[in-house]
Amino acid sequence: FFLGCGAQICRKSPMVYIAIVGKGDVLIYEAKLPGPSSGKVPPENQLQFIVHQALDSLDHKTWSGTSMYLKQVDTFNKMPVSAFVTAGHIKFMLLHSSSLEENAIKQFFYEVYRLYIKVAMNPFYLKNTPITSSAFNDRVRTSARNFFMR
Amino acid sequence: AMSLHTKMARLGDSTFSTMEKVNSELLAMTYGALVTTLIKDFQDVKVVNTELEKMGYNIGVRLIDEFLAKTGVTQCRNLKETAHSIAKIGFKMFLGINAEVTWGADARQFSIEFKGNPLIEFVELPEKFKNLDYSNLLCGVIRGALHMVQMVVTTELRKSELKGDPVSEIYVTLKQHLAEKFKGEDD
Repeated sequence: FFLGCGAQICRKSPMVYIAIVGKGDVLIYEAKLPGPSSGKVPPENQLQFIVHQALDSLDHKTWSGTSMYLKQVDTFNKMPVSAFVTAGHIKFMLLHSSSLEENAIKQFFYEVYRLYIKVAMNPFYLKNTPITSSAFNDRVRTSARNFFMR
Repeated sequence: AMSLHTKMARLGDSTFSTMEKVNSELLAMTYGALVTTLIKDFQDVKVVNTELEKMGYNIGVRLIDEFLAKTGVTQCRNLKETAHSIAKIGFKMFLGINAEVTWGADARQFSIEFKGNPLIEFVELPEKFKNLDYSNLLCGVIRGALHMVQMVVTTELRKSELKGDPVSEIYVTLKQHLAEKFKGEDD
């Protein structure tokens, strides 16, 4: 059973969903990554919507402290949305199962930050545009595997 | 007895250690900004390649003096020595990297092979610019420097780490030696 599922079959599959959002709420990267099995997996077309919904609470929480790691900013059907804001205000958001440790998420975000900086330093990369680098994609997936599948 | 090439490598290392250094990220980003600005201005990859080579030439005609002054290298006896001076001393002192010489199709052609070019740090070439010779500046530097020591050469960026090759390679072809012209020699 799953609210809003419609005719789609939702099955248990190991997954976390990451979205990177730039200025003006522009989605510049998204991916389903390896992660611990979450009981309910939202259908594909809802993932972006869920993350978008969380942006308001994210913006609110950004200024509540000094840390870039914002921990949990929202929930969707008992699935937490964790977030991270870079110094340049690029937002990383992660939809994941509640079983995922905070420390693992934090370390993963810092690793994604490191990888994002490398992309940003490419003179051919225009800020706030979709990240198409396959190296970036591969390394984000490897990071997820390292931090989330243990 | 030390081989000439070993002596050259040592000279390259020691000269490098005396050179003033600049932050490599700053260099890479400045060069990246230069290349992308050229692309914006000219819109044509072939033209940008030519412009980079021309800029390199202008650098090379001046750089040769610094090379000769700082290393104390005097005239090379043959093209092989010239090639090794560029690879072992020039690349080391100006870019901080080790380069190798491989000999070409005949006695007038050789390759300089190198890895870890500081100019390309962080760069990923987009598909639409796959024919861009990003490091073409270096080809011009070699051409300009050699022109000042009476050698006319053509250079070509044959391989590039940015294009998926394991090393970068600049192919040099000697076209002709120029006769030295001396002004106002006493009769």
